[in-house]
This record gives sequence, structure tokens and C-alpha cells, in this order.
Amino acid sequence: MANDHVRPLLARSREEALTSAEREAVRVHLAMCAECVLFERALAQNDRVLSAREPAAAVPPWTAAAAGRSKPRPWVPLAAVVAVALVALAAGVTLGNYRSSVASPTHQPQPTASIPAPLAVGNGTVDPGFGFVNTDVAGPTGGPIITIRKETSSAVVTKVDGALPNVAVSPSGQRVAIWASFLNASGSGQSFQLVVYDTVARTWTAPLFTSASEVPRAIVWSSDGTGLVFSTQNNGGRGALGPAAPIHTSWFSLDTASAQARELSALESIADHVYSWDRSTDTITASGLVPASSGAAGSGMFLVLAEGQLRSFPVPVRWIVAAADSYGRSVVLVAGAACDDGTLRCSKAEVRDQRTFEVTTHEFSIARTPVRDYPTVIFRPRSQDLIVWQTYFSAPPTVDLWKDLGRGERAALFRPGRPSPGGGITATDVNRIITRPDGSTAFLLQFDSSRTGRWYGDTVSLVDASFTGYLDFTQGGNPLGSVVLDPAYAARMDGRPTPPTLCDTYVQAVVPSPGTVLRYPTVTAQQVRIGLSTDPNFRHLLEDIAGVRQDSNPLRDPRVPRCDVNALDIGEPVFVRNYPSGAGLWYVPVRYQGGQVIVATVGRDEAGAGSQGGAIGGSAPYPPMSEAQARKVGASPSDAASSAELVFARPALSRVVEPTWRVVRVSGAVWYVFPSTTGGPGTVLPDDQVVLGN
Amino acid sequence: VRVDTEQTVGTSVTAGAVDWDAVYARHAAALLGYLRRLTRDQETAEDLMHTTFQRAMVAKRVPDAIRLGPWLYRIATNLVIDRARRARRFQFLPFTGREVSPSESGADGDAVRIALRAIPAELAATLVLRLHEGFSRSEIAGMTGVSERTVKWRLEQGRIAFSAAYARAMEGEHG
Repeated sequence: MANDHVRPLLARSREEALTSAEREAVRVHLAMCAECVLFERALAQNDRVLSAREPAAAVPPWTAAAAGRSKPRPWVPLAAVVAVALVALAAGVTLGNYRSSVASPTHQPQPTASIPAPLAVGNGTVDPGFGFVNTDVAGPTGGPIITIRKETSSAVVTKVDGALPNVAVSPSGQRVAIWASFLNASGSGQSFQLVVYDTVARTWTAPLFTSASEVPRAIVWSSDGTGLVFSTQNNGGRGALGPAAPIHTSWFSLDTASAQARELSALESIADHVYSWDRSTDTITASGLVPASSGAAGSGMFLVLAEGQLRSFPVPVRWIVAAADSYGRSVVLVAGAACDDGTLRCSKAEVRDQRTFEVTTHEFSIARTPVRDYPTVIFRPRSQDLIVWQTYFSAPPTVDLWKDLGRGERAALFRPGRPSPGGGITATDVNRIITRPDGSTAFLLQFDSSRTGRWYGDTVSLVDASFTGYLDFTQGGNPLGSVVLDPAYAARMDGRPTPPTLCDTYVQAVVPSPGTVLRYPTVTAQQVRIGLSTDPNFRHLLEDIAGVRQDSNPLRDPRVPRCDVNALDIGEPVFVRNYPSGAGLWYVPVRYQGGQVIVATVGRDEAGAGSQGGAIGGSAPYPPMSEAQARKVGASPSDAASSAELVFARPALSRVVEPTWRVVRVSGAVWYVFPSTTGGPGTVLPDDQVVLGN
Repeated sequence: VRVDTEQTVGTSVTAGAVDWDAVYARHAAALLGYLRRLTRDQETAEDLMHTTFQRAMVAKRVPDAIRLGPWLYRIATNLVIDRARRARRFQFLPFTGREVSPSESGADGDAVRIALRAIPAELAATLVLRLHEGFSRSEIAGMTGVSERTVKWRLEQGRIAFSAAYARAMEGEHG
């Protein structure tokens, strides 16, 4: 085959530059050989595939630590599984939860508008301080109407005759954006006006936007609740109805206070869903389908429109965007996955940063038995917790609350046909999930089509996943969203983001990849201090102590406020020499408010350089014996100590090397003081009973 | 107090003087990811990772901090290659007619892993060390005990072989 010659060249070109003759050969082949072109593309794609990071997996516990160090003990998988399970059970989580809790993200989300914490401002059960936005077809013209009513009552708070069902509730739960529809004066068609209803003040705004010829589609509130992003769509050519013209979608952003609208031409006919608008950085995130030029199926893209500049990121093949929070922080992708029985009908998810589309939580399993469809993922309001709703072929649906983007605890929200001691109506299936805007409660609703077409279901606390009551839409209607009605509740539900927390704004150190050599001068304590200030590995250690990546990190010190890395400082470095060479180790105490948290170790080679690489836990003083004590112990009444330094040594009969005081007496005799427990604290041995070095 | 070999630059030490807890904490996750890429499931990868550390712990001398990580990769790579060679000698034979060979089942559903297992282990390991782990060609040469020229050849042939195997694996997944 002609391309047998060019394949190795194309493969080699991925590693190094080809000679001019080889480049010419490649050029000629690529111009003439379609197979060669495909092969070149495949090589590039394969390099990306091979470079994709392996999903983080829980590292099994190290059994040698418990087995003693003198002899390596064989790895016993069963014992490890039992140990992991016991740890997990002790923590009150399943093995799956344990694995998820130790999975660490590789990427720190970009700072965005911060996310207000979930609240529980009302009662755990249905509460008159909250209400539902509903749609129905009971209008005087038989057209759709929108109603708002209390959770506890069928009494209508307000009603719009003639409105589209695509409403949006602001993050504060207090403002509802609605498209009201009107017949045109000529009676030949409809126009639509965008209005906002304040559920607490019970007032309407004037029309904020009018669409005369295009049908309004999605509405999304900005994360601070002061603006809207929405789209309109024609049924043919833009501005003029015509079946031959393609469907055209226009996107707009709108400031609700001034009613100033701006057309987002960059998203025009590309975006099909907008997720967030962070007005503090003027960033809009969306997803869409970029059509292929050949007419073939297009590719899914995640879109970031920041200050007018559109960036697009390809959604990986076979993945789809399941959800993204309204704060511009995280986007959840889902895909099919292998089941326990070997089929590929299960599901998995991963989380990415909305701004950069970098993975922040590696893929994790959602369902391990065959599913009917991709899971539905809903962000718990005011949080990064996920409500994951999955339907199965041969089992009832599951609805779970996954804390902290799937990295935290998981709890089941839905239990089909749960006991109903009060005679209430419990759901056996889930057809719709609505969350209260304070993030306190989820309504798991089932539609009863056999009776009067009503919705009913369970009220579940998102605080502790407990079942708190029954819900029955006795007056019919389709619930679309949850709103706050009580002014006292609204006062606590300010939709504006709270000031960013330390964790929101902290940017992690990037740790060098394995094999990267990191060295700096470490001859003096001052050089060690300076070097540590720029050492990413040391910064990573401090981040683990402060729980930057996750609060359950094994190195996490509960005394240190979460993500307050700068509250940590270092004490006086102590050098232990690998006598007689000049190399050795610095022991550097890491402190919080003066108390020792951990001791970091920094290397010094013969050339006087090294870097941080290890750490010793505990708050015991280091070294455990002071120089003055060592001089005292290492001297005799007739032969005082003239010098003392820490060196690595071990008693001849011991295998444990430890930092040891090397005391030189005035007579020149050398004695070693072992400050730790080898042979008992403060053991003193002469020169000929000690082995130096490590 | 133990000696963490990450610090002792420039000299090798005896395995008994190494703080294996610290070494494990530092290298286990990366090694597990590397082995996971080259093996069919998590359990196999974990087994090989622990065998890697077992071998390291009984070594007479352990390299210094700079070379410790690559040295562990070298042990792990040899284990993967040994395992692949053994697997070729002892093929799985169905005995009821319904079993599926683990090497063919794609139980992990990952075409990349299936393709990597379908090509010679030396080529697969070299590709993964280069593209997944990010080592330079000279580092890989040091790890695998071959010349840098051989590494280049393995990368070239590995890419060609992987391309065909990956296409087959993708067809199998979709088909």
C-alpha cells in the first residue's frame, strides 16, 4: 500500500521534526491519499485520547504500615477491602461514598460569583410562606394561564390569562419572569411581552421586552437576579415567516431595572441552552450544537461568552451536558457506561468548570444496572450539591442527593411507595422534581393521569434527606417552579451572592508532574525558607492541611480554617546531616497560631540544593531533645561537651535510622545521644557502637 | 522518625531505611493511574501496584529522590510486560461456551484500555509513559533500560499499532 511508507513518517512526526525530504513526501501523500489524511487525523486524536488523564481512583491503604517495617507483608486484597469498608462504615458512608470522597479534583474552578449557602427559611413540611408557579389551560379563551399559589392552599395569589409555560424564578425565589401573550391588533397573530412578577411585593413590572414576530423560548436569570437572558425563535426566515427559510434563534440579555436589552449575536443560532449569566464578569455560559459543514451531525459544544468574546469547547464524544449551575461555576456531563453485567447501558458523570471546561471531578459511576435514559441532574439551589434522578429498565427510579458535586456524602431522596402513616398520598414513581429556592426542600412529584390529571407526591428535606410530608395539587395545574411568598422569608433569601469565601477565591498550586526535578539552594535556614515560599509541593502540603481540595483530606487539620492557607507559617528549620557528607535533611515545623501542625522535610544534597518532599505529622517538638539537653547528656563531669549537631545515625544493633545528637567532648571523644525511643530516650552510645548515615 | 528518600538526593539508600509510608503516599496515586491505563480493571492495577512496592521494599538499594519515581515506574512497567507475556502463554479458554475472555469482554468499557492491551506491552507501556505520564524520551529510556532510539521506534510503532487497535475497539463498542 502506498501509505505503508508514509505511516511511520506521520507517526514519527508526532515526536520530532522530519527532514525536508520526509516532509515533502508526507505533503505529497497527504495531497493525494485520503487514507493518509484520515490516518494523520487519527494520530492526533489518539494522542489526545492517550493523554487524557486516567480518572482518579481511591488508592488502597498501605498495609506495610500496620505490618511493621522490618519485613514487607504481602498485599492482602480482602483485608484491604474490609479495612476500607470499616473505615467507610465508621464514617457512616458506603464503600461507593468512600471512593467518591477520596477522589480529588485536578483543577480548581475559576473564581466566579460565589454561591450563597442553602437555607431552611421555612417549615420542613409544606409551608404557606412558599408557593408554586403553575400552568394550566383553564383560561377564558381556553389558552394557557399561569397561576401562583401557596404550597398549602389552592387560593390563587395571582394569575395571568394567556402566558407561555416557559417561566423562570429568580435565585431569590421572589421574581418570576413570564412571557404574556396577546393577540395582535390586527387579530392575525400573537405578540409576547416579557414581564416580571414580584411574589412578595405582589407587583408587576411594565413590559420589559416585546417580541412581535418571533416566539420566545428559554428564560434564565442572572446569578445576582438583576438580569435575564432569553431567546426568541422564528419558524422560518428571521423576521418573516416562510417555510423555506431555516429556523433562526436570537439571544438577548436584559437588565430588569432599566429594561435595556442587548442582542447576543455571538450565540445566535448556535446556543440551544443558556445556563448562567454572571454579571460581575459579564460571562454567559451555554451549550449548543455546531453544525457540520457537510450536513452531517454536528458536534456538541460548551460555550462561554465573556465580555463579548465567545469561546467554545467540544463536548467529548458520547457525553452530553446534563446540568450547569446558575452561578457559572460547574457543569455536569453524563454518558453511558459499563454495567456490572458487562453491557454498556449504565451511566456515569463528570464535573467540569463552566469557565474553562476543565475537569474538576473525574468521572464517577451513577448507575451500575441498565438504565432507560441519561440521568437527569438538578443543582440544589444555592449550592453545588446535585440531585441525580435516574430511571431504570427493571427497577423503580432513584433520586439521590450527592453533596459537593458527587464528592461528598450521598443520600437517597426517593423511596417508592414509602409508608404513609397519616394516610397521605405517596409517590410510587417520579415524573417531576421541583426544588424550593432556599435549597431546603425537594418535591418529588408523580402525575396521576387516571383521575383528574393532578400532581401529587413527596416532600423531602434536602438538609437531611428525610421525608417530611405529602403534597397534593387538588386544584389541578402543572407545577413549574417554587417561589417565596412570605416577606420575612424573602428578607433572608437575598439572591445576591454573598461575599466570596476563602475557598471560592483560592487558586491551587499546580504540582509538577512526576519526573520533574525541583531544586533550590538549601544550605542555610534562610534559603530553605525562601525556597519553600516558591515550592509548589510545599504549597500543596499547606493546602491539604487547610482542606483546600476537600475537607476530609487525611492531612486536614481541623484547627486551621478551611482554605486559610495563609494562616499557616513555618518555624525555625533544623538541619540533620548525613554525616560525614554535607547532605542531609531540613526539618521545618509548620505552625498555626504558634502551635505545630506538621513537620515538613526539605532535602540538601552535596551541592547544597533540594526541595520539600516529605512530612511528619504530630505536634511533638522537633527535635525531641534540645541541643542544651544533648550537651548535658553527652558530656561527663570531667569532659565537657564542646559541640553538638544533629546527624542521621543508628545504634549498631538497630535498623532504625534517626536524627541523633553527635556530641564532641573537649577531649575529642565523640558520643551520640539518641533523643527518640531507640534503646530508651536519651540513650548515649560511643562512636564505635553507632552506624552513621541513612 | 524515618528517612524519606525524597530528601536524600544524590545517593542510594537501603530499603530498610526508607519511609515507605511517605513513598507510598507520594507515588501510589500516580502509579495506580499508570497501571490502570495498561490493565483491564482496577483490581489488577492495584495488585500490580502493590507488587511494585513489594519489589521495591526488598530491593538491596533504593535510588535517591530524583530517581525513585522513575525507578518505581520501571518496576511497574516490567510487571505489566511480564503479565502480558504470561497472558499470551496462558490464554483463557471458555468451558461452557458462554464465558467471554476477559481480554475481549471490554468489561471496563474503555476502548483506550482495550486497544492498549491489544498491542505489544512494550509499545503500550512506552506510549502511556510518554503521553499519559508525560515522561521525556530519555527518561523512558532510563526507566525501561533501552536506548532513546529504541524508545523513539517504540513510540512510532506504538502509535501505528494503537491507531488500528483503537479503531477496532471503537467499532466493537459501537457495533
